Amino acid sequence: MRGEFIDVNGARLYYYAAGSRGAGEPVVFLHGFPTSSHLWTDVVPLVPKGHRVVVVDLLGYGRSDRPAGRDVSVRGHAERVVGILDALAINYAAIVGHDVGGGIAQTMAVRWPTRVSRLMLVNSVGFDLWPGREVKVARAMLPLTRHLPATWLLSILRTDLMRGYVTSDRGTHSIEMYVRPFAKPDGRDSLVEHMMSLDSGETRAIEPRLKDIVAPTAILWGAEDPFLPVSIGRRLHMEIPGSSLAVVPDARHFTPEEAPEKVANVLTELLAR
Amino acid sequence: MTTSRLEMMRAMVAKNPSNVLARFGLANEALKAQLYEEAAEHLRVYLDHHDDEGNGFGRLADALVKLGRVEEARDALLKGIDASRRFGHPGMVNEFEARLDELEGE
Repeated sequence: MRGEFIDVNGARLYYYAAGSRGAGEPVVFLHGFPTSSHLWTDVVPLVPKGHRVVVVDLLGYGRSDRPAGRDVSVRGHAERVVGILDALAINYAAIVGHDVGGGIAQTMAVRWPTRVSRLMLVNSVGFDLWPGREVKVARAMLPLTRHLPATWLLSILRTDLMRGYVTSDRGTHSIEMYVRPFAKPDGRDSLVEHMMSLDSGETRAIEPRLKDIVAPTAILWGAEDPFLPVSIGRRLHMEIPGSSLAVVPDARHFTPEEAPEKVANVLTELLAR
Repeated sequence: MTTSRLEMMRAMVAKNPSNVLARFGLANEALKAQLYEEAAEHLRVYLDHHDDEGNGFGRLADALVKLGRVEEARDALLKGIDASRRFGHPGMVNEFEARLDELEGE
């Protein structure tokens, strides 16, 4: 496994490559808000042999550059992921997305259908059913709260994110990794930019075109997700032709971390379709 | 599983032959099933009606090479280079140029 930076339209993005090149098409993993490539750590080793694997830190997350005013909407991220594919000479890849990463994956499947060989959505955003009430409230308060110390915003974020984990030890460890880039004043500005961009405009816009997705699609959901309820997964399953839906009992939002074997099993089945 | 998905895509195209993305999806399933003639047929319809960014031409070239139609594959790659350059996909341009060089030897 090796990590590298790649320049996409002036933004320095971090990714790491894993797996082995073979007959299978590449697999690209996309995280959501406010996580990073760390989300997929336990899934990546379980990807079937013969697939090149690319795990991305989206702009403003993990080790990638701060947004600094660049577009961090679902559409903006999707355009940069296509830029990553170009830079890595990947014409056609299976795209796996969690949370906002799932929205990015849907956008790619709709707007760049010939670049997406297969689509996997894990506890994904969708339709106009996100962001949740807590994010909307926090966003409404940003004109006031954005001037407060980063520690204040982060303490709220930590508490809220913990609801997405079944296992508190794992949650505590991962959340610390996820919020670390936001702990300094410039990090707080990034966090504010992300929160302002958590908007369902793009997933609403592509909703009528979900029925045109021709890539084999698998949908996987933690049954007890407190942020993105499984009803979103069921509706995506209804809209995307030929898609499969698997629900993991007792799992919450961070399914790739808490049920990596389930994620890998569904991915393995999808790659064999 | 491939067969059922192939049938599903065939049904989708039969229901709405003007759905060019369904044509692309069907072509991909046909490629997986090594039905290269069928894949090429649907890719041509797709490419005639959709402003492809390059990869569709590459997939057509894949099918044509398998069918031994090297001249047509070369033509598809040249169109793919043009499209991917127009849409700003330099990685794809490089790959298609390399594939074109490989075909020169055949």
